[in-house]
Amino acid sequence: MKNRLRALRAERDWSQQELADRLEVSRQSINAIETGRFDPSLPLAFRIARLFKLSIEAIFTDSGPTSE
Amino acid sequence: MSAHLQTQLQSRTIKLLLALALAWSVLQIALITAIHWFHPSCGVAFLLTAVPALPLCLMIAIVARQPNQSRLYIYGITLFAASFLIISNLSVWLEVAFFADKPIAIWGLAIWPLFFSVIFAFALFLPWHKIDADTMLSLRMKLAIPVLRRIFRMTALYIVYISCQFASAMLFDSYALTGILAFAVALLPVLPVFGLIWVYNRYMQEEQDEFQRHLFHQSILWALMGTFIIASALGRLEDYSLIFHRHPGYFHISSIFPLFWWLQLEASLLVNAIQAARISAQEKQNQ
Repeated sequence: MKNRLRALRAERDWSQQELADRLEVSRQSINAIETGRFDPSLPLAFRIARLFKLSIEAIFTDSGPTSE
Repeated sequence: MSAHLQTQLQSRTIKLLLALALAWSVLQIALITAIHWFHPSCGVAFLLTAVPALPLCLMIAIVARQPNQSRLYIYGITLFAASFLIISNLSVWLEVAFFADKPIAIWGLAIWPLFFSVIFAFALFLPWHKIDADTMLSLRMKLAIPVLRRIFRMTALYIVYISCQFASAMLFDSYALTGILAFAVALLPVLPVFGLIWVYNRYMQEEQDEFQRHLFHQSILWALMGTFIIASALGRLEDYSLIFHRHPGYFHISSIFPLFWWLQLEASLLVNAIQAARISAQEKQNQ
């Protein structure tokens, strides 16, 4: 799954630690999500979306095959 | 009280605790040497084993006077020391009471406090004194607490495990155990292994960070696979007498597997942490 987390964070000039503090997760989590090593759970995805005031689809995009 | 003064006081306390831990270690070795050379009666030996408890009582008294914010950590470490002392002293007394004809085993027990003293000294040299009220409440500390608790619980559990292993071996060495009692004594060291399930459940409940939970699951699987490979390989080699089959006892190979699993688990978590730090450093360079 791809995501725009790094770009969104850069727009707001937040460090990984700042974003981690706002989401109440570890900095490693943010790093793992940004680099695509870890896909967040649905509750965390909602928290991220709420923080950036965007929909989940606007942040995360499914890189797999789409069903018709 | 100013933060600087508080830090100084905590630093001094840590040095004092360290000195007492070393005093305990020296007394413990002196006690074992005395028992080895003078062969005292059971009653005298029991009284002697209480002597090394004196520095520990002082340690607990010092910890009890500490300010709240530093107490959590130092208290944990000292309790750990207390449990270790009780187990090791009880073992010395059991050795004297029932197995006086095995001086080598008594000397073997001398390694315990030495081993612990090294761990204790290491734990005290960690910068605990830098933890003040503000950092205690910070998110980073909150995130670190479940991990510390898990490590503490697992360490305590493995101390109990090794103690049960020793107790079981000692009982089989001295008595001709039969029937249900023999089964119970033989399986005694297995009980603390069940405790691992409890530690796992507690950690899963307490760990708020889902990525850390994910890493923990991954590390458990790696450790399990490594243990399976080594256990099955050793089993095959033993089956065809290609390696020496050791009799059950104090350091039988079967007792190593849970320890081996734990060490692999921690090693895997450490590798993950190093990898994460490396990726993070690379990204900072790229920025």
